[in-house]
Amino acid sequence: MILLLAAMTAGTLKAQDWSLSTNIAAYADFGTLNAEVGYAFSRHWNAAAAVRYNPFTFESDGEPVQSRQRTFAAGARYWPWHIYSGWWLAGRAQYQEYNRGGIRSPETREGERVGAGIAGGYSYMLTPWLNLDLGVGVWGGLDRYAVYECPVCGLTLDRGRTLFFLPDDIRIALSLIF
Amino acid sequence: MMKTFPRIPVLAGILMLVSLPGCSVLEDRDLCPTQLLLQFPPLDAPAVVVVESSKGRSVDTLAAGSRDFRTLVPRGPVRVSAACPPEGFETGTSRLPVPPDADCPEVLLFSRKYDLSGESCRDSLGWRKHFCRLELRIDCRNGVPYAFAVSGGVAGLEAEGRPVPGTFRCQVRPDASGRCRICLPRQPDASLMLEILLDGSPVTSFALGEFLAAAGYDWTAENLEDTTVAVDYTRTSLTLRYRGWSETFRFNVVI
Repeated sequence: MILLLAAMTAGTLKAQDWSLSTNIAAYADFGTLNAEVGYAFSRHWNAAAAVRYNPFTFESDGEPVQSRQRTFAAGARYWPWHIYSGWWLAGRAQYQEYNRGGIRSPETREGERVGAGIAGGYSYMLTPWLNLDLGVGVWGGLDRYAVYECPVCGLTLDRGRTLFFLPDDIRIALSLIF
Repeated sequence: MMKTFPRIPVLAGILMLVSLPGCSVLEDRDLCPTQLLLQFPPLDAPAVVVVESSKGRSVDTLAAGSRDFRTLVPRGPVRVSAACPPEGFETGTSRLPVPPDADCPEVLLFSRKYDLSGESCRDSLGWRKHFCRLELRIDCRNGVPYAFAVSGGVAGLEAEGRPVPGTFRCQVRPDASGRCRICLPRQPDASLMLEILLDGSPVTSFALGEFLAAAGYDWTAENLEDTTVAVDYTRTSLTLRYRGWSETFRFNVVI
Protein backbone atom coordinates (compact mmCIF):
# COMPACT_ATOMS: atom_id res chain seq x y z
CA MET A 1 0.00 0.00 0.00
CA ILE A 2 2.84 2.37 0.92
CA LEU A 3 4.60 1.44 -2.32
CA LEU A 4 1.49 2.29 -4.33
CA LEU A 5 1.04 5.64 -2.60
CA ALA A 6 4.68 6.53 -3.15
CA ALA A 7 4.40 5.63 -6.80
CA MET A 8 1.31 7.77 -7.20
CA THR A 9 3.15 10.86 -5.99
CA ALA A 10 6.11 10.31 -8.35
CA GLY A 11 7.00 13.19 -10.67
CA THR A 12 6.31 11.72 -14.10
CA LEU A 13 4.55 8.51 -14.97
CA LYS A 14 4.05 6.73 -18.23
CA ALA A 15 0.50 6.24 -19.47
CA GLN A 16 -1.23 2.89 -18.77
CA ASP A 17 0.84 2.01 -15.74
CA TRP A 18 -2.22 1.70 -13.52
CA SER A 19 -5.12 -0.68 -13.54
CA LEU A 20 -8.35 -0.75 -11.63
CA SER A 21 -10.46 -3.87 -11.93
CA THR A 22 -13.50 -5.54 -10.51
CA ASN A 23 -14.29 -9.26 -10.69
CA ILE A 24 -17.80 -9.92 -12.02
CA ALA A 25 -17.63 -13.55 -10.92
CA ALA A 26 -17.23 -12.45 -7.30
CA TYR A 27 -20.59 -10.67 -7.39
CA ALA A 28 -22.17 -14.04 -8.02
CA ASP A 29 -20.86 -15.10 -4.59
CA PHE A 30 -23.75 -13.54 -2.63
CA GLY A 31 -22.92 -10.09 -4.04
CA THR A 32 -19.34 -9.75 -2.90
CA LEU A 33 -18.02 -6.26 -3.59
CA ASN A 34 -14.45 -6.22 -4.85
CA ALA A 35 -11.76 -4.06 -6.37
CA GLU A 36 -8.16 -4.50 -7.34
CA VAL A 37 -5.54 -1.86 -8.04
CA GLY A 38 -2.40 -2.59 -10.00
CA TYR A 39 0.71 -0.63 -10.78
CA ALA A 40 3.17 -1.68 -13.48
CA PHE A 41 6.72 -1.09 -12.36
CA SER A 42 8.35 -2.78 -15.31
CA ARG A 43 7.45 -4.14 -18.72
CA HIS A 44 6.66 -7.60 -17.34
CA TRP A 45 5.69 -6.98 -13.74
CA ASN A 46 3.01 -5.20 -11.84
CA ALA A 47 2.16 -4.98 -8.17
CA ALA A 48 -1.44 -5.40 -7.11
CA ALA A 49 -3.60 -4.94 -4.07
CA ALA A 50 -7.13 -6.22 -3.78
CA VAL A 51 -10.02 -6.05 -1.39
CA ARG A 52 -13.25 -8.06 -1.25
CA TYR A 53 -16.09 -7.12 1.08
CA ASN A 54 -19.40 -8.84 1.64
CA PRO A 55 -21.43 -7.67 4.66
CA PHE A 56 -24.76 -8.96 3.36
CA THR A 57 -27.18 -11.39 4.97
CA PHE A 58 -30.07 -12.74 2.93
CA GLU A 59 -33.17 -14.68 3.93
CA SER A 60 -34.41 -18.05 2.77
CA ASP A 61 -37.66 -19.37 4.25
CA GLY A 62 -37.27 -16.84 7.02
CA GLU A 63 -33.80 -18.07 7.95
CA PRO A 64 -30.59 -16.08 7.44
CA VAL A 65 -28.26 -17.08 4.63
CA GLN A 66 -24.87 -15.49 4.25
CA SER A 67 -21.41 -15.79 2.80
CA ARG A 68 -19.81 -12.75 4.37
CA GLN A 69 -16.17 -11.93 3.98
CA ARG A 70 -13.59 -9.22 4.27
CA THR A 71 -10.47 -10.07 2.29
CA PHE A 72 -7.25 -8.15 1.77
CA ALA A 73 -4.57 -9.29 -0.66
CA ALA A 74 -1.32 -7.91 -1.98
CA GLY A 75 0.96 -9.42 -4.55
CA ALA A 76 2.49 -9.25 -7.95
CA ARG A 77 1.79 -10.42 -11.52
CA TYR A 78 4.20 -11.57 -14.15
CA TRP A 79 3.30 -10.94 -17.80
CA PRO A 80 5.49 -13.01 -20.16
CA TRP A 81 4.78 -10.79 -23.16
CA HIS A 82 3.76 -7.34 -21.89
CA ILE A 83 1.98 -5.91 -18.89
CA TYR A 84 -1.80 -5.95 -19.13
CA SER A 85 -1.66 -8.14 -22.23
CA GLY A 86 -2.03 -11.87 -22.75
CA TRP A 87 -1.05 -14.58 -20.27
CA TRP A 88 -0.20 -13.77 -16.69
CA LEU A 89 0.86 -15.55 -13.52
CA ALA A 90 0.26 -14.05 -10.08
CA GLY A 91 1.25 -14.62 -6.48
CA ARG A 92 -0.14 -12.93 -3.44
CA ALA A 93 -0.40 -12.87 0.32
CA GLN A 94 -3.90 -12.76 1.63
CA TYR A 95 -5.90 -12.26 4.85
CA GLN A 96 -9.56 -13.13 5.04
CA GLU A 97 -12.23 -12.75 7.68
CA TYR A 98 -15.26 -14.89 6.84
CA ASN A 99 -18.70 -15.82 8.11
CA ARG A 100 -20.59 -18.42 6.08
CA GLY A 101 -23.76 -20.23 7.05
CA GLY A 102 -27.39 -21.00 6.47
CA ILE A 103 -26.66 -22.13 2.93
CA ARG A 104 -27.14 -25.91 3.18
CA SER A 105 -27.93 -25.96 6.89
CA PRO A 106 -28.17 -23.43 9.71
CA GLU A 107 -24.64 -24.42 10.76
CA THR A 108 -22.32 -21.42 10.44
CA ARG A 109 -18.56 -21.31 10.19
CA GLU A 110 -16.69 -18.10 10.83
CA GLY A 111 -13.11 -17.20 11.39
CA GLU A 112 -9.92 -15.82 9.94
CA ARG A 113 -7.60 -17.18 7.30
CA VAL A 114 -4.11 -16.02 6.45
CA GLY A 115 -2.01 -17.47 3.71
CA ALA A 116 -0.61 -17.23 0.25
CA GLY A 117 -1.94 -18.06 -3.17
CA ILE A 118 -1.12 -18.34 -6.84
CA ALA A 119 -3.25 -17.70 -9.87
CA GLY A 120 -2.98 -17.70 -13.62
CA GLY A 121 -5.00 -16.44 -16.51
CA TYR A 122 -5.29 -14.44 -19.70
CA SER A 123 -6.11 -10.83 -20.33
CA TYR A 124 -8.03 -9.77 -23.49
CA MET A 125 -7.86 -6.18 -24.68
CA LEU A 126 -11.42 -5.05 -25.39
CA THR A 127 -10.51 -1.41 -26.01
CA PRO A 128 -7.21 0.46 -25.54
CA TRP A 129 -8.22 1.13 -21.95
CA LEU A 130 -10.46 -1.81 -21.07
CA ASN A 131 -9.43 -5.44 -20.60
CA LEU A 132 -11.34 -8.64 -19.93
CA ASP A 133 -9.35 -10.57 -17.40
CA LEU A 134 -9.90 -14.34 -17.02
CA GLY A 135 -8.19 -16.47 -14.45
CA VAL A 136 -8.30 -19.00 -11.64
CA GLY A 137 -6.27 -19.48 -8.50
CA VAL A 138 -5.78 -21.36 -5.29
CA TRP A 139 -4.60 -20.41 -1.88
CA GLY A 140 -3.63 -22.07 1.35
CA GLY A 141 -2.56 -21.26 4.84
CA LEU A 142 -3.86 -21.24 8.41
CA ASP A 143 -7.52 -21.08 9.32
CA ARG A 144 -8.67 -20.15 12.82
CA TYR A 145 -12.33 -21.05 12.92
CA ALA A 146 -15.43 -21.55 15.01
CA VAL A 147 -18.58 -23.46 14.02
CA TYR A 148 -21.94 -22.47 15.49
CA GLU A 149 -25.42 -23.97 15.47
CA CYS A 150 -26.81 -21.10 13.42
CA PRO A 151 -25.85 -17.76 11.85
CA VAL A 152 -27.16 -15.70 14.76
CA CYS A 153 -26.38 -16.93 18.29
CA GLY A 154 -26.52 -20.68 18.92
CA LEU A 155 -24.06 -22.89 20.72
CA THR A 156 -20.48 -23.43 19.60
CA LEU A 157 -20.17 -26.81 17.92
CA ASP A 158 -16.48 -26.73 17.14
CA ARG A 159 -13.52 -24.41 17.40
CA GLY A 160 -9.89 -24.66 16.44
CA ARG A 161 -7.09 -24.07 14.00
CA THR A 162 -6.37 -25.98 10.84
CA LEU A 163 -4.48 -25.75 7.59
CA PHE A 164 -6.53 -25.13 4.49
CA PHE A 165 -6.16 -25.28 0.71
CA LEU A 166 -8.97 -23.73 -1.29
CA PRO A 167 -9.79 -22.48 -4.78
CA ASP A 168 -9.76 -18.73 -4.95
CA ASP A 169 -9.83 -15.75 -7.25
CA ILE A 170 -11.95 -17.21 -10.05
CA ARG A 171 -11.82 -14.23 -12.34
CA ILE A 172 -14.07 -12.87 -15.01
CA ALA A 173 -12.97 -9.30 -14.42
CA LEU A 174 -13.12 -5.98 -16.18
CA SER A 175 -9.92 -3.96 -15.88
CA LEU A 176 -9.57 -0.27 -16.52
CA ILE A 177 -6.06 0.52 -17.73
CA PHE A 178 -4.88 4.08 -17.39
CA MET B 1 -8.71 11.15 -21.06
CA MET B 2 -6.88 8.42 -19.29
CA LYS B 3 -3.98 10.75 -18.28
CA THR B 4 -6.40 13.04 -16.46
CA PHE B 5 -8.32 10.17 -14.85
CA PRO B 6 -8.73 10.99 -11.14
CA ARG B 7 -6.38 8.30 -9.93
CA ILE B 8 -5.69 9.75 -6.49
CA PRO B 9 -9.31 10.05 -5.30
CA VAL B 10 -10.18 6.63 -6.66
CA LEU B 11 -7.20 4.92 -5.13
CA ALA B 12 -7.63 6.80 -1.87
CA GLY B 13 -11.20 5.56 -1.77
CA ILE B 14 -10.03 2.01 -2.28
CA LEU B 15 -7.44 2.42 0.45
CA MET B 16 -10.15 3.66 2.79
CA LEU B 17 -12.16 0.62 1.91
CA VAL B 18 -9.13 -1.50 2.61
CA SER B 19 -8.65 -0.08 6.07
CA LEU B 20 -12.15 -0.60 7.47
CA PRO B 21 -11.46 -1.85 10.98
CA GLY B 22 -15.01 -1.34 12.14
CA CYS B 23 -16.63 -3.39 9.39
CA SER B 24 -15.95 -6.89 10.64
CA VAL B 25 -18.13 -9.59 9.09
CA LEU B 26 -17.94 -11.78 12.20
CA GLU B 27 -21.15 -12.05 14.22
CA ASP B 28 -21.17 -10.23 17.55
CA ARG B 29 -22.26 -13.05 19.79
CA ASP B 30 -21.68 -11.22 23.06
CA LEU B 31 -25.31 -10.12 22.96
CA CYS B 32 -26.65 -13.62 22.39
CA PRO B 33 -28.74 -15.20 25.12
CA THR B 34 -27.36 -17.93 27.31
CA GLN B 35 -28.74 -21.43 27.00
CA LEU B 36 -29.46 -22.47 30.57
CA LEU B 37 -29.59 -26.24 31.11
CA LEU B 38 -30.63 -27.38 34.57
CA GLN B 39 -30.78 -31.00 35.70
CA PHE B 40 -33.15 -31.87 38.51
CA PRO B 41 -33.43 -35.16 40.39
CA PRO B 42 -36.53 -36.79 38.87
CA LEU B 43 -39.64 -36.85 41.01
CA ASP B 44 -43.03 -38.49 40.66
CA ALA B 45 -44.85 -35.19 40.47
CA PRO B 46 -44.66 -32.32 38.02
CA ALA B 47 -42.78 -29.19 38.95
CA VAL B 48 -43.03 -25.51 38.12
CA VAL B 49 -39.91 -23.51 37.22
CA VAL B 50 -39.81 -19.73 37.41
CA VAL B 51 -36.98 -17.87 35.68
CA GLU B 52 -36.44 -14.19 36.45
CA SER B 53 -34.09 -12.22 34.20
CA SER B 54 -33.75 -8.83 32.57
CA LYS B 55 -36.30 -10.08 30.01
CA GLY B 56 -38.90 -10.54 32.77
CA ARG B 57 -40.38 -13.56 34.47
CA SER B 58 -41.17 -16.83 32.71
CA VAL B 59 -43.03 -19.80 34.13
CA ASP B 60 -42.60 -23.32 32.76
CA THR B 61 -43.75 -26.75 33.83
CA LEU B 62 -41.51 -29.76 34.20
CA ALA B 63 -43.37 -33.04 33.65
CA ALA B 64 -43.28 -35.75 36.29
CA GLY B 65 -40.13 -37.81 35.96
CA SER B 66 -38.34 -35.21 33.86
CA ARG B 67 -34.80 -34.26 34.67
CA ASP B 68 -33.77 -31.60 32.18
CA PHE B 69 -34.96 -28.04 31.95
CA ARG B 70 -33.70 -25.83 29.11
CA THR B 71 -34.37 -22.20 28.44
CA LEU B 72 -32.78 -19.19 26.75
CA VAL B 73 -32.16 -16.22 29.02
CA PRO B 74 -30.43 -12.89 28.50
CA ARG B 75 -26.90 -12.67 29.85
CA GLY B 76 -26.52 -11.13 33.27
CA PRO B 77 -28.17 -11.87 36.62
CA VAL B 78 -30.79 -14.62 36.56
CA ARG B 79 -32.78 -16.19 39.39
CA VAL B 80 -34.31 -19.65 39.03
CA SER B 81 -36.97 -20.91 41.46
CA ALA B 82 -38.81 -24.21 41.35
CA ALA B 83 -41.47 -26.07 43.33
CA CYS B 84 -42.57 -29.68 43.25
CA PRO B 85 -45.49 -30.24 43.21
CA PRO B 86 -46.56 -26.82 41.99
CA GLU B 87 -49.85 -26.62 43.88
CA GLY B 88 -49.81 -23.77 46.33
CA PHE B 89 -46.63 -22.16 45.01
CA GLU B 90 -47.09 -18.54 43.99
CA THR B 91 -45.20 -18.06 40.71
CA GLY B 92 -45.67 -14.29 40.84
CA THR B 93 -43.68 -13.93 44.06
CA SER B 94 -41.80 -17.28 44.13
CA ARG B 95 -43.27 -17.98 47.56
CA LEU B 96 -45.08 -20.89 49.20
CA PRO B 97 -47.75 -19.44 51.51
CA VAL B 98 -49.28 -21.53 54.28
CA PRO B 99 -53.08 -21.39 53.92
CA PRO B 100 -54.97 -20.04 56.93
CA ASP B 101 -55.89 -22.68 59.53
CA ALA B 102 -53.91 -25.29 57.61
CA ASP B 103 -50.48 -26.80 57.84
CA CYS B 104 -47.58 -26.21 55.47
CA PRO B 105 -47.99 -27.70 51.98
CA GLU B 106 -45.50 -30.51 51.42
CA VAL B 107 -43.74 -28.85 48.52
CA LEU B 108 -40.07 -29.30 47.72
CA LEU B 109 -38.42 -26.03 46.76
CA PHE B 110 -35.34 -24.89 44.91
CA SER B 111 -33.79 -21.48 44.22
CA ARG B 112 -30.46 -20.30 42.86
CA LYS B 113 -29.00 -17.14 41.39
CA TYR B 114 -26.67 -17.02 38.40
CA ASP B 115 -24.65 -14.31 36.73
CA LEU B 116 -24.54 -15.56 33.15
CA SER B 117 -21.87 -14.39 30.75
CA GLY B 118 -21.25 -17.33 28.41
CA GLU B 119 -23.26 -18.96 25.65
CA SER B 120 -24.35 -21.84 27.88
CA CYS B 121 -24.60 -22.75 31.52
CA ARG B 122 -25.18 -26.21 32.97
CA ASP B 123 -26.03 -26.92 36.58
CA SER B 124 -27.15 -29.95 38.55
CA LEU B 125 -29.64 -29.08 41.24
CA GLY B 126 -31.14 -30.61 44.32
CA TRP B 127 -34.58 -30.19 45.79
CA ARG B 128 -34.76 -28.83 49.31
CA LYS B 129 -37.22 -29.89 52.02
CA HIS B 130 -38.06 -26.83 54.07
CA PHE B 131 -40.86 -28.46 56.05
CA CYS B 132 -41.03 -30.86 58.96
CA ARG B 133 -43.72 -33.52 59.28
CA LEU B 134 -44.35 -33.55 63.00
CA GLU B 135 -46.19 -36.65 64.17
CA LEU B 136 -47.76 -36.53 67.59
CA ARG B 137 -48.32 -39.94 69.16
CA ILE B 138 -50.72 -39.73 71.99
CA ASP B 139 -50.44 -42.37 74.67
CA CYS B 140 -53.85 -42.31 76.34
CA ARG B 141 -55.83 -44.98 78.02
CA ASN B 142 -59.31 -43.54 78.14
CA GLY B 143 -59.64 -42.00 74.72
CA VAL B 144 -58.59 -38.52 73.65
CA PRO B 145 -61.25 -35.90 74.26
CA TYR B 146 -58.89 -33.21 73.18
CA ALA B 147 -57.63 -31.81 69.95
CA PHE B 148 -54.28 -30.15 69.44
CA ALA B 149 -53.27 -27.00 67.71
CA VAL B 150 -49.81 -25.85 66.78
CA SER B 151 -49.23 -22.13 66.31
CA GLY B 152 -46.21 -20.08 65.34
CA GLY B 153 -44.86 -17.04 63.55
CA VAL B 154 -44.16 -18.42 60.07
CA ALA B 155 -46.87 -18.01 57.43
CA GLY B 156 -44.96 -19.21 54.40
CA LEU B 157 -41.61 -19.90 52.75
CA GLU B 158 -39.53 -18.11 50.14
CA ALA B 159 -38.21 -20.33 47.34
CA GLU B 160 -34.80 -20.23 49.05
CA GLY B 161 -36.45 -21.63 52.19
CA ARG B 162 -36.40 -18.39 54.13
CA PRO B 163 -39.41 -18.21 56.48
CA VAL B 164 -42.04 -15.57 55.74
CA PRO B 165 -43.29 -13.95 58.96
CA GLY B 166 -46.96 -14.23 59.72
CA THR B 167 -49.58 -16.10 61.74
CA PHE B 168 -49.55 -19.88 61.61
CA ARG B 169 -52.12 -22.01 63.36
CA CYS B 170 -53.25 -25.49 62.51
CA GLN B 171 -55.57 -27.76 64.45
CA VAL B 172 -55.41 -31.56 64.38
CA ARG B 173 -57.32 -34.32 66.10
CA PRO B 174 -55.68 -37.65 66.89
CA ASP B 175 -57.12 -40.69 65.16
CA ALA B 176 -58.30 -43.85 66.89
CA SER B 177 -54.72 -45.00 67.31
CA GLY B 178 -53.80 -41.71 68.93
CA ARG B 179 -51.76 -40.36 66.06
CA CYS B 180 -51.96 -37.10 64.26
CA ARG B 181 -49.61 -35.32 61.94
CA ILE B 182 -48.97 -31.71 61.17
CA CYS B 183 -46.55 -30.24 58.61
CA LEU B 184 -44.57 -27.31 59.95
CA PRO B 185 -42.66 -24.78 57.85
CA ARG B 186 -39.02 -24.05 58.67
CA GLN B 187 -38.82 -22.05 61.88
CA PRO B 188 -36.42 -19.17 62.56
CA ASP B 189 -36.76 -19.50 66.31
CA ALA B 190 -38.29 -21.58 69.13
CA SER B 191 -41.66 -19.87 69.17
CA LEU B 192 -43.87 -22.83 68.27
CA MET B 193 -46.69 -23.43 70.74
CA LEU B 194 -48.73 -26.60 71.25
CA GLU B 195 -52.26 -25.97 72.47
CA ILE B 196 -54.68 -28.41 74.08
CA LEU B 197 -58.20 -27.80 72.78
CA LEU B 198 -61.45 -28.90 74.29
CA ASP B 199 -64.49 -28.45 72.11
CA GLY B 200 -62.45 -26.15 69.95
CA SER B 201 -61.39 -23.86 72.77
CA PRO B 202 -57.82 -23.72 74.06
CA VAL B 203 -57.37 -25.13 77.52
CA THR B 204 -53.67 -24.70 77.92
CA SER B 205 -50.56 -24.36 75.83
CA PHE B 206 -46.96 -25.54 75.90
CA ALA B 207 -43.76 -24.24 74.39
CA LEU B 208 -43.28 -26.89 71.77
CA GLY B 209 -40.58 -24.89 70.00
CA GLU B 210 -38.47 -24.61 73.13
CA PHE B 211 -38.93 -28.30 73.79
CA LEU B 212 -37.74 -29.22 70.31
CA ALA B 213 -34.79 -26.82 70.59
CA ALA B 214 -33.78 -28.28 73.93
CA ALA B 215 -34.11 -31.76 72.47
CA GLY B 216 -31.73 -30.86 69.68
CA TYR B 217 -33.96 -30.52 66.62
CA ASP B 218 -32.06 -28.59 63.95
CA TRP B 219 -34.23 -26.05 62.09
CA THR B 220 -31.17 -24.86 60.15
CA ALA B 221 -30.51 -28.16 58.37
CA GLU B 222 -30.46 -28.00 54.57
CA ASN B 223 -33.26 -30.59 54.45
CA LEU B 224 -35.45 -30.72 57.54
CA GLU B 225 -35.99 -34.07 59.20
CA ASP B 226 -39.45 -35.43 59.93
CA THR B 227 -39.90 -36.08 63.59
CA THR B 228 -42.17 -37.77 66.08
CA VAL B 229 -43.04 -36.50 69.50
CA ALA B 230 -44.64 -38.86 71.95
CA VAL B 231 -47.28 -37.29 74.12
CA ASP B 232 -48.08 -38.97 77.39
CA TYR B 233 -51.37 -37.45 78.39
CA THR B 234 -53.15 -37.69 81.73
CA ARG B 235 -55.73 -35.48 83.29
CA THR B 236 -53.15 -33.44 85.12
CA SER B 237 -49.96 -33.65 83.09
CA LEU B 238 -48.58 -33.89 79.63
CA THR B 239 -45.15 -35.33 78.91
CA LEU B 240 -43.40 -34.82 75.61
CA ARG B 241 -40.71 -37.26 74.53
CA TYR B 242 -38.34 -36.77 71.61
CA ARG B 243 -35.18 -38.81 71.00
CA GLY B 244 -34.70 -39.64 74.64
CA TRP B 245 -35.43 -36.12 75.75
CA SER B 246 -38.57 -35.62 77.78
CA GLU B 247 -40.32 -32.81 79.53
CA THR B 248 -43.45 -32.91 81.67
CA PHE B 249 -46.02 -30.13 81.92
CA ARG B 250 -48.51 -30.22 84.73
CA PHE B 251 -51.88 -28.54 84.58
CA ASN B 252 -55.40 -28.55 85.88
CA VAL B 253 -58.21 -29.39 83.50
CA VAL B 254 -61.84 -28.88 84.21
CA ILE B 255 -63.94 -31.05 81.94
